[in-house]
Amino acid sequence: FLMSKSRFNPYEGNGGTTAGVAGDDFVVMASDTRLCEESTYVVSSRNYPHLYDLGNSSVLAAAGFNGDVIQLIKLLYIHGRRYLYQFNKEMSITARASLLERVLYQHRGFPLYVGNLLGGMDEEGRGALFSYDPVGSYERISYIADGSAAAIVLPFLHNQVGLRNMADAGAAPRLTKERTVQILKDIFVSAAEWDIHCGDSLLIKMITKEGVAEETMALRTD
Amino acid sequence: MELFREAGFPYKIEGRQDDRRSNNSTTGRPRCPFDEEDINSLMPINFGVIENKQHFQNEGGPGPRIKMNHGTTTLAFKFQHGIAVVVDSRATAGSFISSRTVEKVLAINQYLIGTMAGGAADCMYWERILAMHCNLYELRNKRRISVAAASKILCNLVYSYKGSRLSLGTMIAGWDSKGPGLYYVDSDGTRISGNLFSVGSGSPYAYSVLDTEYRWDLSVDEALDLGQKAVVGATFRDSASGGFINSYIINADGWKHISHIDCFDLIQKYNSKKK
Repeated sequence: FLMSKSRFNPYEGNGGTTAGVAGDDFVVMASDTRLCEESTYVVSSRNYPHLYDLGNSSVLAAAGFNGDVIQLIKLLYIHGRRYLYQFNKEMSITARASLLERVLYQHRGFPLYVGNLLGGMDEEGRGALFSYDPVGSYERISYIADGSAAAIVLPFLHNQVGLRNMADAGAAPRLTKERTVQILKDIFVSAAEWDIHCGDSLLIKMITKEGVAEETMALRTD
Repeated sequence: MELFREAGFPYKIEGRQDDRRSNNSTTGRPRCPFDEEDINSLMPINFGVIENKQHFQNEGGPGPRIKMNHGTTTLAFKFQHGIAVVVDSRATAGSFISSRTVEKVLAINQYLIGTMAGGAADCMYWERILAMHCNLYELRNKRRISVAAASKILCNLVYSYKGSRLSLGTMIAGWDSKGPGLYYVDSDGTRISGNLFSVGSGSPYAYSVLDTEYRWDLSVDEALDLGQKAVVGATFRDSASGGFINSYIINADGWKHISHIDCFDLIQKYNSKKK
């Protein structure tokens, strides 16, 4: 057992749980603000949100290995500036989504250990949300959760946003931004109860065509 | 370009090819004639940086494990009216279902498609590069690319990464001047033409249904029904397959998406037929 512990491992699990919901004219992204170390159980920071503004009202939720998250954000920032200087306009969300796939795949041989969710408004004014695996496979979806408590948050979103529990889902009212924020607050409270890496506080970013608004809420700190 | 170097960006500038060759000397990676060092394609590098990467790709040992999307059932077969392609839509990362709605048929152009099996990111990325090469071929040669040539481009691209643990098992299906074309291409470098293929963890189950009832002279509806039955059988027994069943038909007019059905509904339909 001692021999396996001393083997070199380039990654660390820094925790963090993220979630996103895309609606007809909004996207809500949420993340807790805890940064921890999976192997030593230390909590490194209680005020480290996992949501990053990338420009043009797009938000990246990135949790996993924090070293790779930092590098990824730098790369995406530089790509965004390159695009802006080259074409004199900000990247659209679909261009950013495609770029993120290629940036992640470029590290296919030594992956960036990050679970990414990219949210923003698309060219038609609808909410766009994309989820990625660590090497770049991506898909546009309407709700997703990632990070350490993903298995707790995602089934709840499936039930409340995907409405698979209702036989006649057509009768349900259309999802509003306020209801989405309430759903996310409720589930993150539960996620903090049941996952050791989730807690401290919740940061919610609401993206609409007007821009990005923020809200925070306290969670369990144990 | 100084910005990139300052940020430690692992992008190699054209004209400074020596770094790729020095990578080759440690990994012995054969160079592919279709490699293009272009910032927009962002080719993957850094294979062989860490010796024995297995310990952070498989289970066992301490620390986090990279889990990539895998697992699937896809099938395609030629018949008198063209090619039928039927796929599931489940992507798994370890035992977690990372997506129930993956598009496992990737359009290369209007008359060529590629399926996805193995690593989702690998298939998605390399088939996108293949689409770029097919597009360039059409622009340069003023004619459509043949299915044989397209599959060969993909095969050569992934062969140059052989040994780097890419995982790709794809079928290139399309219509060209010779009629329907169906090739199986995988990351080991296999490229074979055939009338009927099934790829993925659920393929043994799909093959058993297909081989029992496949005929050349199926009608379009019979062919789709056979394909769906085969994939449904696979989703029933293979835990890594499931979700929605997507069906496509390729004929002289190109490819067309026919249906998108929840496999649970199809299972219930076949069960009710049994009674």
